This record gives sequence, structure tokens and C-alpha cells, in this order.
Amino acid sequence: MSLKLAGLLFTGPFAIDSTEVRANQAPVVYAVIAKGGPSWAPVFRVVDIGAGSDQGVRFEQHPRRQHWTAEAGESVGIYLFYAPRSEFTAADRERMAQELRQKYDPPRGVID
Amino acid sequence: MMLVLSFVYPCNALCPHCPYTNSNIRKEYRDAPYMPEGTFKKIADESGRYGAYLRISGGGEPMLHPQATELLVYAKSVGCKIGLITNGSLFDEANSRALLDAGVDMIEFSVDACDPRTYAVVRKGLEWDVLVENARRMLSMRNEQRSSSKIVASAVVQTGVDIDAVEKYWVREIGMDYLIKRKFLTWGENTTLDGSRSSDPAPYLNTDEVPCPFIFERLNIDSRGNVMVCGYDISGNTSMGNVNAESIRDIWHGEGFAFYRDKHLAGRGKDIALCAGCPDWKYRSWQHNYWKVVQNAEAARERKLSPLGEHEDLGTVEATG
Repeated sequence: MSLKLAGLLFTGPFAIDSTEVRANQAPVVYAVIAKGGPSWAPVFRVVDIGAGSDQGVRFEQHPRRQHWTAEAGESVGIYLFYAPRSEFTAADRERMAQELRQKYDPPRGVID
Repeated sequence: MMLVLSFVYPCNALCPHCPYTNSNIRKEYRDAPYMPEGTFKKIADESGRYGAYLRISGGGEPMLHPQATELLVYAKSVGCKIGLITNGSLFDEANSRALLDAGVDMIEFSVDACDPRTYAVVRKGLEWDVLVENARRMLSMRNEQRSSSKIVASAVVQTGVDIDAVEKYWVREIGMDYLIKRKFLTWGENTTLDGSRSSDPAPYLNTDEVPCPFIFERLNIDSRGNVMVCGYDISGNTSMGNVNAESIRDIWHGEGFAFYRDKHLAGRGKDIALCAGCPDWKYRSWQHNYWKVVQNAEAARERKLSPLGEHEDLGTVEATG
């Protein structure tokens, strides 16, 4: 499934504890999204947003992992925006994540 | 009623206007590239009883399915109507004959151009000469065996494409029954496409007043058997049910579709986030739709295959008695 956040196309959901972006892969901006509501009209809540480092990211060991929890009727997963090094620097990724956090106000922001 | 099947996700082309070329969706369906035989036959068996239309499209090139011809012939045998949307690159004499013999109702060649240079851009990865040869063969066989199949072409109305020239070439010169002119769609939240390449952005309907037709006439099913609310949700963010576990009838008349239809009929479709954000709703139409294409193409086919030929004059016929 795909989701667009502020015009950026994210792909997911990936299971939090088994997903890793390695150093030899394209770096990412990530969004932790909770999907709730009826299956035919889902509601997506933005739980967290961040930028992966050039060394990669292992979500199971993320310092905020314990806060990525589902509420009743929700499932939580990781969505990734791939930001290849040829097009984006680490500073670009941080800036994008910052702008997304401002727009979606995690952990309670809802994607319209 | 029409069932739109994402029968295949892989493709042998990289068309720049395609939502699947411009999204992550193909990657997301790597575990389910082809609709399994069991899922397809369950859909065909249930919908064939009602003579429903199966639109074989979405995701990729349908003829790449390892059982494409066999499954389409099966669907015809159990009473379905079939509309096959294809880039036409994979037809040969054997599969063309099988589809025509089975009476596949409409075979649509997505052509998008009328010359090799434009074709190489808008149908990247495909060969113009192969397209023309396969289309001519299909038409010639259809006319020879007086098959009931309608053979049409389609083109997206986009910058760099002379749509009138495309129509003239494919209908008048090649002999297609009809040319479908498709609006340039972006699928909004699902893709990276933007509408700047459309050369006809005029809407068909006013979304403030008119309900979306798709939730009343189409059922979209992916290769996993999941039913999405409509053809806009090609990422499969919604799930109205799964045809492997439930009947199509139950899904079509279920709570999910009722929710969407009630909102749209009450003029409150935009209360639904997915619909409010849909840039393609305005390009749906209650009049200019697939049923109209079927009707026009059938009339053209009948004229061509009538015993007198389309250019012969019946002369004056005296009424008697």
C-alpha cells in the first residue's frame, strides 16, 4: 500500500520489529502509521516521523520504539520514503522529517 | 455490473502515464504478481451466472499471465462477458484465434499514438511494428470468421499526442471499431503523477452535486482477491472484503459499499477523506462510460460485418402491405 504525506509517496506498511534499512540501501524518511477504523474506510494516524541515518536504521532498536503502540482497533506499521543519496543529503532528510512532523503533529495527527 | 480485475501486476512496458510505473504498487504486489486460477475461477463462476462484465486490466499486461488465454476462455464458457485491455504486444495467431473463438466481447488495444516516434515515448519498451501487425491480424481474423468480438483502440489524451490523428489512423486506416479517448488521470495519493500532461482537463461532472458512478457500477478486485472501494484506490488501502472468503454478492451489498453509496447519494461524498482527496472523481461519467463504448463499438462491428458491407447501398425498398 502507498500513502502520500505532504506530496511524498511512502510505501508500507512494514512490520516494525522485522524491518531494517541497511547502510548499503537507499536511506529513508520513515513514518510510523496506525491504521484504524473500518477496513472499508480506514483512518490513518501518524504516530511518529523521522529520518534514517546514512548508517541505516533498525526499527526494533529505535529509541522511541516503546512509544509506537496501537490503540484499540488499530494496527501499527512503518512506511518508508526512499531518499537516494544521489538526490538527497542527510540534512535534506532531516528537513523533510521536520516539515512532516510540523504538518502532521504526531502522535495524534490524522492523514486527510 | 462490471468487475475490474487486477489480473496481473508485471508489465513489459514502462508507459509514463501509467499509475503503476509511477508508484510503488508493483513492488508491493511482488508476492502476488498473477491472480491465481482458483481466485479467477471463483469470480468467473459467481459473476457468470449474472452475465457480468469482467474487465481484465489494472496492474500490468494481462497477456503476461501464464494462463491468460485459458482463463479468459473459461470465463466466457461460464457466462461472463469479457473486456480485455492489453498493450497488444503478446498476441500471436493461436491466442488471437482462441480469444475470438471464445467470443471475448471486447479487445482493447492501448495504443496511445499513431506513429512510431510518439509510440516509443508514450509506450516505452514496446515495438510499434509488433503492435500494428498484431492489431491487423486480430481484425482480419475477426472479420474473416465474423466473430462477435469488438476490437477497439484507446489513447490517453495527453500532451504530445494528436488525439484526432490517432483516431483517424486506428479507426479509418487500420479498421478498429472505435477509439476510446481516456482522460489523463493521476490517481492522486497513490502515485507520483501530476496532471500537467493532460491536454483535456475539462471535468465530466461536478463533484459537489453528482455522486461518483464507480461505487454503483464497478467492483475492483486485486490479485489477492481483495476488493477495493474503487479504481482510485489502486494501492489497496481499503478492503471491502475478499472474494476468496466471501461471495461477491455479499461484498457488493455489504456495509462498506452501503456506507460510500449513502454518503454520495446524500451529496456528502466529500465527507469521506478518500473521496475528498480523489482528483479523478470529476473525470468519471454517468454517460461517457464503458457501456457507451460497448454500444458504439458493437454498432460499428455490425456495420462492418453486415452481409452488404458498410459502403453498399440497400437502394430503395418499397413498403408492402
